[in-house]
Amino acid sequence: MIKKISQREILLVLIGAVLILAVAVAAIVFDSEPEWKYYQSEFRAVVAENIADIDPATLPSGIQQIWVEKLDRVDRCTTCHLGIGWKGLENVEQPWTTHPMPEIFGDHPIEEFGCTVCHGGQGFALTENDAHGFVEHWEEPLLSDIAASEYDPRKPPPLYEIQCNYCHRYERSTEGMPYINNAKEFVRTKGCKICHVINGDGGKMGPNLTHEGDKHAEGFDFSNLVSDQLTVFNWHIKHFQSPPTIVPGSIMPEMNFQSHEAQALAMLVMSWRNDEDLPRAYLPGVELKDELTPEEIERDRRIREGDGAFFVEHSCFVCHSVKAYDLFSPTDKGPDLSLAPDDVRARFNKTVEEFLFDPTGTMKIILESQIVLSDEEKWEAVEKIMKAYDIVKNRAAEKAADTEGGS
Amino acid sequence: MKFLNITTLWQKLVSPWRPESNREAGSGIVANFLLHWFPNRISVRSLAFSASFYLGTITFVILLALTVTGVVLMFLYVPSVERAYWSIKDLDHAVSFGWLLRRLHRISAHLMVALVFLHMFRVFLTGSYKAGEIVRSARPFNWVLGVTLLVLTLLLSFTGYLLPWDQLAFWAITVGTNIAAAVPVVGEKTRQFLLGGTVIGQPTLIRFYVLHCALLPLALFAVAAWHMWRIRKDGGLAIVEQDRQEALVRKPAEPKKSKTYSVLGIASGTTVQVNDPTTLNEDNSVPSTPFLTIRILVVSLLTLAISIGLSLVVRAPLEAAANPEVTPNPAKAPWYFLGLQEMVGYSALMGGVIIPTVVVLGLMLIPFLDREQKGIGIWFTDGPGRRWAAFGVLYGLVTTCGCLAIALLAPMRDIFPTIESQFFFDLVNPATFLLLLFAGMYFLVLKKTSSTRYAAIATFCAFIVAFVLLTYTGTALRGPNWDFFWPWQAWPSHPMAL
Repeated sequence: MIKKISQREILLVLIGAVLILAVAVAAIVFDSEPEWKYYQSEFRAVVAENIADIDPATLPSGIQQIWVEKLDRVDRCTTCHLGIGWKGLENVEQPWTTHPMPEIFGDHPIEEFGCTVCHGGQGFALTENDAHGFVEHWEEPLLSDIAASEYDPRKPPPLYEIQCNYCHRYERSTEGMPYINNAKEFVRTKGCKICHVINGDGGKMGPNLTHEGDKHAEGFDFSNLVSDQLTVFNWHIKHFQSPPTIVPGSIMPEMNFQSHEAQALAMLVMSWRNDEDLPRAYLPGVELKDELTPEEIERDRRIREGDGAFFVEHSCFVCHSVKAYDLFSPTDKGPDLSLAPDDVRARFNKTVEEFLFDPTGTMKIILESQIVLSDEEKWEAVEKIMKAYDIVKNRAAEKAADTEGGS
Repeated sequence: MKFLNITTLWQKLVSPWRPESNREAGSGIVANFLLHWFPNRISVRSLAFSASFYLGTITFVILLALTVTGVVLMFLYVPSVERAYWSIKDLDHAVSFGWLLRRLHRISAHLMVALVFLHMFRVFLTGSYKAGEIVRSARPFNWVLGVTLLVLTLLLSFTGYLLPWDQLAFWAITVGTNIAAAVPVVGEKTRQFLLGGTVIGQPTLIRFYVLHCALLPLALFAVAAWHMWRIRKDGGLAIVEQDRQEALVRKPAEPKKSKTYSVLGIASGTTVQVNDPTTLNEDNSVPSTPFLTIRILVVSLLTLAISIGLSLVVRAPLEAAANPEVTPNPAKAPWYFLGLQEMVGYSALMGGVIIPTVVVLGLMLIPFLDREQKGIGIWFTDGPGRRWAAFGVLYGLVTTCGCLAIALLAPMRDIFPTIESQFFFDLVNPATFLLLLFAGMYFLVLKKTSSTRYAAIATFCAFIVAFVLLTYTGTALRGPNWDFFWPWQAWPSHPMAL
């Protein structure tokens, strides 16, 4: 006979097996019951209660995500905030409610902007705590009233305007951004650019502020900030109110800003971030045009005004000059329209109006497919051509008279 | 018919395998591919928990867990500077069980580093690197393989550290590679070779990724297989030497009839008379199946349960995305290098180059310096050994605390304010003092006891204490600007954007 394994050893195996089973079950439970599943199931109830004609089976389920490739953002906020784009859930509580400003989606379609680019927060995350971003090592927390009330419980500053102005920074003023608009007014009236470079131009006395919003918390000296809130935002507020208190020896003048004014300015400087990676299409107020000389701009303006404007608007000037109106075609493929009455008569034996209403040759194709004019527009064209013809004739007559008188 | 099959299957599952004879137990080993590298019988002594604490087995189970989680992670991780950080975010937040994979991989990696150290401490303190006098085994060589495995494990951990591409990763590798740059002449070149440039970037990430996922694991598995094969070739754990000693004095058993050799055609006839094999017999050993296999099963189950259980409660940190512009304060290397980083604070040359070289070389050379053959496999060898170990611990405690106190209270530059030469401070600093104190102790104990073993025990124990204390100081007591903070002192609060 040989030794048998003791009961104690078998008991240990059992304990080990049970422990493995226990941790595995715990892991599965932990993974299979995320918060968002609860919010999604509640959303069905919310919809059923508030909107009659919706089949709950058609509601979105599973992780929802908006991937904005151009902004390099992935936002999973709509996994819980399912009602954002819905009508009829305005009075429902968070996270199921309709967006409080649905009109914002007109200029900012959600699929091209996502959520966090305006609101802050951690778009990747799927639990409230992580997603709202009030966690260690996440530097863009949700710009909510809760965060703002830390600075002013009675009148929380609208922190999200910081994010708005990331794109809207070159605009003089923007609808729906009262704090930032106010701060921009200060920048213009208080002479900030005398000492600071802002948006690429200004004086050299103070530091360049064009990318001030990118400066990391580590880059600030908090040693003179007496406050519980060691934040960059608070540093700016206190600094605007009294520069030499925060930066001893600073020669930046004290402007006696009210606290909400200092908050607005702090928001403005924090919005000044490097936008090199931002696609130009996201920057309103930035002209995507070739550079023009003042003469070219003036000429451009002139041909868009007055009687010649009609021929520019309808692209006639692509081929035809109208010299009577100082309009010169860049290609000059067709004859000068100022002389059209003579020209049409000579070539087609028609008046201008007959030719416009019943064209032949190349003009037949163009007027039928490229430049389709209504009857009123045709009459207008005839009128303007005749007027041009008169001008040319008068000029010729004057010239002839001049020559005669001169000789 | 189908029902019958299910019944047999069930019976196979529930009925325990209980060999009725040694032969049946032995064929259990031979018949199974996975088990065939176990011996037929195993010494009861080496099976005892206190002989090894199964630290090597646990380390290997953890290595398997790391391999499995690591391979799955490779499917989800993107080794590019643009995507790496965000693929980790996805793992943490959106991938099913991604959080568990990452936490398990991370906690296992830390555990493995710790276990490799503990395993080395155990092997040293039980004198298991000694060849033995009866059968000259190659255990000294296996110790060298073990030190190689320690270095490979540290390299694996270090290369894996960079992959999440967050601030923690970026700056830990910055600090770690800067330590390498302190080597005279070749340091800067070595650093450039590691980084694939002068700063950490995409070339560094892909280098570390390939090293971490391909080259180093292959090397580790090869050397680990060699390491374990050698244990078998050397007759098992070193405590078997005690069985050998006893077998020497035992009266040889009556010769038995055996057919064993007839197959080889060595002897004429069908039977030969042989002596019982000397070391292991019915009294001091048991069949490996099921006695060893069940132990390994228990150890594996408990190891996995504990590491998964830890993963449920310990979050894997992920700091802000790597940003070369913003240096976190303090920037720290991975924890097992923080003892070195603490000494680098005194002198980069001493703490970053000379001491690690001395330590690694010293570890490798231990079995060749200490050739005494008594008490193999026994903790601290014997009574005097235990006393010298206690002395070493105490000595290590006093000297390390003393050197830390000098570093904190009386920095060398304050004592010698007129000297400007960096070379002077590379030679005269607390790290040098510690090195000299330990070397001095080795020779004093050697002189007093005329025993290399006692001298080695005392020095090694002092080394363990110094390693633990310095690592603890670097990890927990050093705050912003590498200033010293007691555990009850709060660090200055960290400013945020909003």
